[in-house]
Amino acid sequence: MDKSKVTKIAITLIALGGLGYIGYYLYNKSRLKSNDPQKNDRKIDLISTTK
Amino acid sequence: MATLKLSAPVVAPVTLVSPIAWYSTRKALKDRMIEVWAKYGKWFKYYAETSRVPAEILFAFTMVESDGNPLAGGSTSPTQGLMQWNRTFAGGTGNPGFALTKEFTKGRLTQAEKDKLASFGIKFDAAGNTRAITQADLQNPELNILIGSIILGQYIDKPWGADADGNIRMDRVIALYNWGLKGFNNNNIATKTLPQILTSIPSTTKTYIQKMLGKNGALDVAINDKIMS
Repeated sequence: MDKSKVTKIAITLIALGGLGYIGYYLYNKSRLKSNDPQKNDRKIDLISTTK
Repeated sequence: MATLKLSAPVVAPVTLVSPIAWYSTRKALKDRMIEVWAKYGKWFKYYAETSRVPAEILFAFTMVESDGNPLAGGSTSPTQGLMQWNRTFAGGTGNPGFALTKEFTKGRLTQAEKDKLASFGIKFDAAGNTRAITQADLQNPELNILIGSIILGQYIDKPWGADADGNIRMDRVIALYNWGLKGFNNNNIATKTLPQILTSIPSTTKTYIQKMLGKNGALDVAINDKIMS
């Protein structure tokens, strides 16, 4: 197999892996979303007052 | 995005200190928290994601409520388990005020939460009714943390759950969680300042606030002692 073909296959596999990761990330993100914006948007910062 | 803040330990408008009758030293509490985190940390982290209540808060509540003992409270108590919520108000049939029913009917449950609850046999009909919550459910550490995280999220999202400046009123959350709705409402806790609350609540609830929010308390250790990795 020539070098350019190997490179093409490698790039294709990396791209597919990337797309799979993005798909998985979006799927997980959607599972963590409710229909209540107050819950969805709530972010809590914990602040240390220890000096 | 609604960003809220929770400062610990509380140093204003009053300074709170965790009672040495609970843990005599910070190190002793820290050592116990390391043990509890090793057992249940993965669930504190996961249910912090699903509920959007930080793992530190879930962890600190668990320490104060049960010391990380999933059987704490005794097998005849309706509040047995890690987070000690009351199973008679958590779920079931015919009461729109049940915590799980409310979370469902208000569209607040995430798919991840629904799937996890279903994996424990807790499914919803169209009105948000579930099967009764049992003693075995209370004793299940993962389910206990899941339902506890939902209840705490509901309390934080109440109109009185944070001040206008975004500071979470964890003192009020604790008062309701520990004292119950009757004491909370009859004493107008929702409108009171921290100093006023400390003089209005039973001593056990006051001690709870000190253990949770005081210097050398559970939240102080959870935030500052790097034990949650």
